[in-house]
Amino acid sequence: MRAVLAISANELRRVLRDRTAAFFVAVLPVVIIVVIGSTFGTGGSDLPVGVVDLDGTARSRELAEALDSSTAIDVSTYTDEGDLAADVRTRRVEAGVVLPAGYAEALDAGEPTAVRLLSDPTASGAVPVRSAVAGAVAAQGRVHAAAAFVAGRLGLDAAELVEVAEREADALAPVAVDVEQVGDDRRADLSPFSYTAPSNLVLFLFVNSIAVGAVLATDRASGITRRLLATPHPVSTIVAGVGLAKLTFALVQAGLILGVGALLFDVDWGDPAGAVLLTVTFAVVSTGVGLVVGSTARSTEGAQSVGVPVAIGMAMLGGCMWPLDVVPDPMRIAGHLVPHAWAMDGWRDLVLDGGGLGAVATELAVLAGFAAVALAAAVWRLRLALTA
Amino acid sequence: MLRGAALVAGLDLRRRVGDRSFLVTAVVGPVALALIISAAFSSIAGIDATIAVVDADRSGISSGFVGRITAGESGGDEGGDGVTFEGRASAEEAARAVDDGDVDAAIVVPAGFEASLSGGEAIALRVIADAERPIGGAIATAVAEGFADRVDAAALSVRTALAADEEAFDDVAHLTLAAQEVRSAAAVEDSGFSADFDAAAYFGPSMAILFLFLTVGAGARSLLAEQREGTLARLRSSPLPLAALLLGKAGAALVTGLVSLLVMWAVTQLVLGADWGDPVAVLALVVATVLAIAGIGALVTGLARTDAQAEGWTSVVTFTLALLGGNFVSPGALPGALRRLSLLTPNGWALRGFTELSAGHGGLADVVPALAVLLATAAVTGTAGVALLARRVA
Repeated sequence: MRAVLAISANELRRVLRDRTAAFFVAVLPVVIIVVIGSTFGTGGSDLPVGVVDLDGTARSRELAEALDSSTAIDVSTYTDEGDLAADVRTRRVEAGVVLPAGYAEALDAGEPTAVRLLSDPTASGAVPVRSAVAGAVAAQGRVHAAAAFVAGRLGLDAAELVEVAEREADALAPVAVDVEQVGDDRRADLSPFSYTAPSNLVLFLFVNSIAVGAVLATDRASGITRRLLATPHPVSTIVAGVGLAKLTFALVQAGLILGVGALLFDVDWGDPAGAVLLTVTFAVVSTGVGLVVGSTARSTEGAQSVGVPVAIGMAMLGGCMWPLDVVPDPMRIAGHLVPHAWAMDGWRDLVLDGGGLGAVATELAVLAGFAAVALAAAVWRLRLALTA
Repeated sequence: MLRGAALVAGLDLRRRVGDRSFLVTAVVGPVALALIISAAFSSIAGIDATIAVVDADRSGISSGFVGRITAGESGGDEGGDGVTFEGRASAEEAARAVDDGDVDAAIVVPAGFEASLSGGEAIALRVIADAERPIGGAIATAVAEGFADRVDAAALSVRTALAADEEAFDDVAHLTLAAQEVRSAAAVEDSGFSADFDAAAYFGPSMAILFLFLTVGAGARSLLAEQREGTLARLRSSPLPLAALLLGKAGAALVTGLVSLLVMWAVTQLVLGADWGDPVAVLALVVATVLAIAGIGALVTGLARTDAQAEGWTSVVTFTLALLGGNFVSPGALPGALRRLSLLTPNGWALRGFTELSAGHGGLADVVPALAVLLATAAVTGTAGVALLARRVA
């Protein structure tokens, strides 16, 4: 056992001396959590919205001003609808509002008219933008509708009643819509980083395990592993030592992301036993795959340049880049062929739903299966590589 | 001199093509990632949502609303295609259905809603949503807001009538009933834009650019590797001038970068039907992007001590620039400050250019700023990088 520890301590020291590795292990995951987390965060303030006024009347300007004074959006003015549409498509603005020609005329006649909203419903700010625009449009529209309604009954001109309706509208509190999220109070209090922190934990644990595992190829080529064999320790001790070093490295990385997530980003990782088991099982899977790569590849550079894109692809399939709810069914099924999807399912149970150990039992069992296969393959390949 | 350069470039290229891991980073990797992303986002535009509706008020207004939408009457604000409404008995039952995923969201008209309209503060309508299914929540919110607008329009009509001429409207009950038919004169009409966002046309160039850093930089790194292995000394002892050697290496790097981006263009266009836009402008942008990234690769390598260090630094620079430039997220997903920050990176500019051409249907004139920034980056970093490398090998 002492030999195992000595071999693994030595291995770890060598990896930790590499400053590039330090960047990928410590700096990059944190930066990514910040960048991606902030894109999913509330983002409610000052969403850029373009407005083009094709009507150019007092009424349309009034609506444009109402939009401008809305707190949720930040309005910029356009003169050409084509320019606005292009900017919406390239997402320079979150949405575009087109006030059509004849807008005021229709309003004054009490006829229904529509303001066109150019937006992608899947964009992050689509909902608050639509609410803000629809609210402002409806507020103006109902004044004119009410004026027309009353005017019709009294045989008057609607224009005469607009002022009365405006006055009444100021005194009337509109009906509110309260949106509540299910999943009790937990969801409401969750840090906005609650999805990105676990997904980056899974992503980087795997990517770095591949990169670190690939270093074995260089050790094999340079004879470091053969020198280990010259010691009086049996091959199994050396295999265990090398494996333990890589696993420790993965766990250090995991601990770092868990700690940074909890301390800096206020992520509640959920049930401690579940979180620890999930982390360790996935770390074993990652380390196993990394060791297989390192003991099979001809060169470290080759293994890394192939392994890292493959690992990123697996993370995409497994829901580390976006939640698997948003993808079509076949992609969701395909995603569960990689361990990432099971780990992400587990983290969602723990972090988003506040589930306990029981909630992640299935995921842990599947991951344990992945881990067993990966470890067996790693031991077999490593033995072969050491003794060949 | 040119023949010498061509010789060096040809040798370099032949060696690359024979290297399987190079093929993965240059061609297979980026294309595979772009395919995964496109497959994942292929059907995101199709809306298929079920919304539960609860009438806890059991008043004329609430039953009218619930009856209307559950009967599938498309009356303007009510959802649209792909949205179905189901009645539920209570708010608790509806909340459970949302939680269990049986429905995507729920709208509740609370008890006492109609009664609250006549006096002071109106009771708010409730929408129960699940953060994991934001589209369902958005639709339910829009429908509830549409209903709230109708109620507001009716209430405002009654108030306006009474304020205008109280005596003429002595039958308030009749007036209130008639006012239910008032609809806001102006509404919002959605023009669906999602069909225009072509994931393959965005993530294709995005992934290709990410990998360009790794492939194009390999050219400069091979110079250091050859120096370490001694093959450079052998080359230098030949009558081949230094300039030809550098030109050859640079040429090979640029060709591999161009091939990598052009393959991505061809694959996404032919297999996925993605439209990158005006071919002339795309080609110009492809060339400028490759030049800029090659320049950065040369500079990073010129500053590094060994080829291993250069490789490490290149990875660091690659991922930092990719993050800031927005290669990992869809356009518009970056918050305001980061969006501005992305324009400090060449890949941010390149992506903006590619987006301008594909999504914005722009032409060569629209990408002039992007081209200018990329070419300037290429000139500055490339000159510095090549000078550093030349001093190193001379």
